Amino acid sequence: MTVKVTTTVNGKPVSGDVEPNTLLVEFVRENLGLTGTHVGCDTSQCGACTVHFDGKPVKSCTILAVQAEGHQVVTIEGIGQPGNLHPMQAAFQENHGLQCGFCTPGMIMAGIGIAERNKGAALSEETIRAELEGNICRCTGYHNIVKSIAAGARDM
Amino acid sequence: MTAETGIGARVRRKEDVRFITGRGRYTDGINRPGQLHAVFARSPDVHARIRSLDTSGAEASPGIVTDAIGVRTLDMPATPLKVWTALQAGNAAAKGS
Ligand code: FES
Ligand code: FES
Repeated sequence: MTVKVTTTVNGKPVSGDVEPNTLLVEFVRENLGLTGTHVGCDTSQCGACTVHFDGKPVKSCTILAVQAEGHQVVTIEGIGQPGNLHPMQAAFQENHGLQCGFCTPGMIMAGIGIAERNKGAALSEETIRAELEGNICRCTGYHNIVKSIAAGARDM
Repeated sequence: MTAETGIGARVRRKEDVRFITGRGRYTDGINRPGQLHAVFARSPDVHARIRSLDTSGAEASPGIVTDAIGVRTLDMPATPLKVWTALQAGNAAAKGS
């Protein structure tokens, strides 16, 4: 049995037929072909699948595609493109915030959330490290990721 | 002090743009016409011998390419313990093999 999901992804109305237990990340990757959102663990630990759901970062492996019905989803492909980068994307490039790049879409989407939650306040390294607890990187260590988010937040 | 050019200067990586914009290519994102997906059955038991395999359920499922089902591994000698091969043959040395 499949059900129809109609939602908005990166500003465009989209719909698809999915099994009711399809995760949002599977819908985004397999139905829509947006493979920039990654599956690192499938168990809500790594944050590689982070997307914005009605403007807030969520792990798209923790919600069902059908829960996105009528909501706004933004993926890494929707925030900026080559030549027109989002300040958080540019900050990751400038600060060597990535190595293999697998965790990076999730780090950027979570980083934007950190910047927005702390808007108007001085964003300390401590805050960034604490709020980044849901995102795991197997390559870089977190030093340059934290630096990137601090710089991206300043430029947003 | 950081130099602007030459030794000690920052070098912008050429590959970063595709990774920060979600355009990186990883194996799991590749989807070619006619592409097959491998599924591995893992041992639920520790140090078990595989006596028989029944793949009839898998073969009866739609979309399964039976040629690729690894039944033939049964004919291979049991993998000695302490030798770790990528795919265990006649026995399952560990849970999850
Ligand atoms: S894939 Fe969603 S948290 Fe790891
Ligand atoms: S850059 Fe490789 S996992 Fe983070």
